[in-house]
Amino acid sequence: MITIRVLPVLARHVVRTMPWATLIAGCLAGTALLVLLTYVADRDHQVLSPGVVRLGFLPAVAALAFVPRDPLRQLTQAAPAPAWLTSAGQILLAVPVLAVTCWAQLRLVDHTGPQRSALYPLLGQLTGWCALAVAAAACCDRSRYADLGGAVAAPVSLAIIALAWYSPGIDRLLLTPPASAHAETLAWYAIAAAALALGATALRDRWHRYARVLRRS
Amino acid sequence: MNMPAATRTGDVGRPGLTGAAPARPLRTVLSLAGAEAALLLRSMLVLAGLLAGGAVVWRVIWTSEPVWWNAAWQIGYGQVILAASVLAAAQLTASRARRDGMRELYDSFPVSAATRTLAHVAALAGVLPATVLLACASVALTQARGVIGTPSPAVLAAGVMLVLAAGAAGIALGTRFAHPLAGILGGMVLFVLFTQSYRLLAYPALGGLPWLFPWTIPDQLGSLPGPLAGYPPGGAHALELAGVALLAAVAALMVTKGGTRHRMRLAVTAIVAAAVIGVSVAAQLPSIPTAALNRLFSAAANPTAAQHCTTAGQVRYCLYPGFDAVLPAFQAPVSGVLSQLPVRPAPVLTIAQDTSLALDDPPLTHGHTRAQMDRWNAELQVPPPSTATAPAIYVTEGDERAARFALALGTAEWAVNLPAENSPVNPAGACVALDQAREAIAIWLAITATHASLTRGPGIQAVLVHDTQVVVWIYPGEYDNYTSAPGPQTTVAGLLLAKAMASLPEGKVERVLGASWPTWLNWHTTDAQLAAALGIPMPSVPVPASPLPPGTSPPAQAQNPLCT
Amino acid sequence: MDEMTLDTQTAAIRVDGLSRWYGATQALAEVSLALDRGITGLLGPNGAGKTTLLSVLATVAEPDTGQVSVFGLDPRDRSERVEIRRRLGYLPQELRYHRHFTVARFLDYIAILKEMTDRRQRAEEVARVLAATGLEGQARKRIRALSGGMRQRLGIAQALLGHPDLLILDEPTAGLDPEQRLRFRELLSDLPGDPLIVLSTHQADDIAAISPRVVVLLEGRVCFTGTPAELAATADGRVWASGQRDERAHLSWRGGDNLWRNVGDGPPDGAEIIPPTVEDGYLLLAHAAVTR
Repeated sequence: MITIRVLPVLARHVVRTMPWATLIAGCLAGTALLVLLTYVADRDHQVLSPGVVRLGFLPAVAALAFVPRDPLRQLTQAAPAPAWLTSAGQILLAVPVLAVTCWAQLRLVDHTGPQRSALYPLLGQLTGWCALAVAAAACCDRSRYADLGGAVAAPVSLAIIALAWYSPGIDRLLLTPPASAHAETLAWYAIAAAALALGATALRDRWHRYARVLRRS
Repeated sequence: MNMPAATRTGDVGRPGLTGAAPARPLRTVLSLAGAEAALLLRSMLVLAGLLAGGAVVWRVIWTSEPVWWNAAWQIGYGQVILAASVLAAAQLTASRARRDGMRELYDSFPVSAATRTLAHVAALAGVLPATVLLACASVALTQARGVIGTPSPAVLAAGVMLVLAAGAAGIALGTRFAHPLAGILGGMVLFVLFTQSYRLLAYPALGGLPWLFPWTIPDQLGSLPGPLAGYPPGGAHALELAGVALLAAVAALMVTKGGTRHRMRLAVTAIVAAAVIGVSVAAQLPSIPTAALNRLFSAAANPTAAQHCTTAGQVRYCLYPGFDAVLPAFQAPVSGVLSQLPVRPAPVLTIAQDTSLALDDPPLTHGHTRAQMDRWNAELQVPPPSTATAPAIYVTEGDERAARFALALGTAEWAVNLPAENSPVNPAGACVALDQAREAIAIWLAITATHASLTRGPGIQAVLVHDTQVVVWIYPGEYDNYTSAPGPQTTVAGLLLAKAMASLPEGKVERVLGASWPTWLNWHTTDAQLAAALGIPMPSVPVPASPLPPGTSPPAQAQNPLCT
Repeated sequence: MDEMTLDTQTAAIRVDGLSRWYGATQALAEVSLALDRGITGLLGPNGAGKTTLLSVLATVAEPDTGQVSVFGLDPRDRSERVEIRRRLGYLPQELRYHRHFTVARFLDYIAILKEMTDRRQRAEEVARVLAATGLEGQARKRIRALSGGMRQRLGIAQALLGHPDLLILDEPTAGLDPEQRLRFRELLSDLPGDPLIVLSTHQADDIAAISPRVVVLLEGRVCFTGTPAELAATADGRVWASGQRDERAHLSWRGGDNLWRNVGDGPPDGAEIIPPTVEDGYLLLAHAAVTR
């Protein structure tokens, strides 16, 4: 109930405290990179595959790792309104920015020529990447590295993405080929769901641990 | 604790200060640099970059046949990863004071911001152990892999210099941007420049410009039959990166306040850095001498003329100079096949290395006239010789170990008289040994010589032979072109029969084949006859699913000839 | 111009007509001071200009007008400014730390920034300040694991590195428990070399306990310079006790003895006048400045 009451009022502050500059800087950096690649491909009459969007989207994912951090967590955790509201709100605000970035980058790639491969595995993969960044940021915000925030979460999420991309064996599930487009999409959405669940757990009120003990006794 | 007193001006009536005399600036820089270097070396980012770089080198070196003129440059791929993480770590170091709100306190210290920045740059020596360790470990790994040639210290040094230059760039970034995302983006830019550098190879007009990138992925370095002096231009590239590091240090110090002398020193250093970069650029851009390329393309076009040949067991092995270590990789599958033959064919089989050099490699061939390029192109178009009386199998250089099965199969197909692609007997391309026992025998020989399990078939496809749909098998390495002029298309029927033969008790197949070897080599002898002789049922061949609705005629398809 | 109480020719710190603006806000207005060895307490409400004044004396901020001289050195000259910093120990008001550093590493780092390049000397100096601030047992602990009070002590410890001639401490006792505050007084009293200490605080009893000299800063101006006793004396006859709150008082609160302590300009006739404290003098000055 308090969440519902607080939400409309909190929304304005969530928007104001959102690290827009960081997120947009990351999105723009990746898009600028893709513009450059598109220009080079255009001059050579090469068709860029949608996979190149992965490269352009990585800076946006790194920037997303800076979003969920709540610098006032010590205060918000002591307030009646749930502390996760701000972080969750800012993650939600980031979604349309990331969607627009992805759309713009796909349009850039489309510009170079007709695409032959399906888009939905790529979208699943990018969704998985974003969820991993959010989970890393949420876990970091709860750890003793909270003051470093995205400086820790961003490299960690990039490392996890690199592991998923290059680890032998894992690529059979997560990359097409050898996995099928459907299998790849399902796998990445499953990863996204798991990562978001982990992130949600990390954003939770810390009192739940004590409450559980209390119930048992 | 008694400390030496120091005199002070304007300090009327006071006892001497209980503090040391002001330290010389250099000592302060070195002391601070030592503290920062220790922090940098212990940074999780640097350690993670070192591990990731090592993993990249392992993956690159272990999956290819290393030759030092390529491997030394490939070790740089791992250094790129380390450089990206060092860039991010250095940016965090340089921006630490502002990020942690310590600026005001630091401004009250006698050590100026310029001194601190200089110390940060000097602290990059702290990552030297990491990058040198990566280089040394990579060299050890490459040597363990069995590498041809000798390493180029200049190229390895360039890799180390790359890490230092990236660190200096990170310091410059950190003096301007305190946000950690700046360092992460900087590392990403370095990584992307590296991974996308190959796109520049499509522009002949750019010539040798790709070498000016922090690190590039060259096109044909691994395909060279031997080292080419000054290619890649490791020494000049190391110098370029040194100049970049110096320029980045100047950029970092420009942010700090200072008097006219400070500005003058920075200006002079910037000019020196620009000069160093200019000299190194000039050293990297010139084209490779015509004489050197003549030798190179001649060795590629006419390999046996450039190679040293040794004969063992009626097989002639021809290798480029320095490639003797590859001989066992050739001998094992070939000997494995030939040792099982009841009767050896008369001609001496030649197994030779081949290269897949092409001219559309601007960093290699830029600066030469059109006429010269046409001459080289014409030279490379002529395929290496292979006839029935002088049969030869050419294995692409760099793929010797990976080509085990392909080489064994090629040897076996020669042994059973199956014609190679584009041979005088089969000029129209790959034929299909449809329902020919000799094909199954060849595959069986290859399986037993290499102990290939072939449990995961790369795939099957259907081709037309005399208007009949035939399911053919794509054997491991077939699409990788490990051997030039490979043999016929192998059928799934032949594969399945060969696998059934391989599971028979030892000696049984040899006895059956030995009883009438010439009969089995006849192209009229069928799979069914072989199966009957061996006492095994004919395996059923899977039918590939048709993408067309029933009743629809398939579109016109090229016919494959029957091997005869 | 405000009154200067010391011989300005020989004073270690001389401030003359100092003004500083932050945008349209004037943080310091024509401040003139002369400070010599010993402890000078700087009292004032939030926004009075204490931190600004201290940061100017610490050569961290530049004045907009006026002159500053520290040990006869002019901070406008770069080499003299560096010389001042060599003799300075500074604790800013809101010091954040490199939280991943250990205590010992942090102090070692600061010692290098104070040009202590000899490793053994540095180690000895770090050990000395750790002992002086009671942090010996925390040397290997990461700063993020320290309590607020320990971090404050760490801030004091770094200011003590190098036996500074001038200690500028902005709210050094913030976050310290009563025992630590007393130990802090002991620490300042025992400092070798009798440095010049300027400390700002909201705790008037700290000033009273250790500072032979007090400067009260209000709205960017020096309103009082003198001893704590003189500051307390400004409230003579203006502090009285009563059984209930007296509406005539500027400030009135109930003490532990259940009597109301009233501070104001006009005690009623027959009121029980009680001896004023430094705090009372300061409160009356602050009230006067607000109502001016």
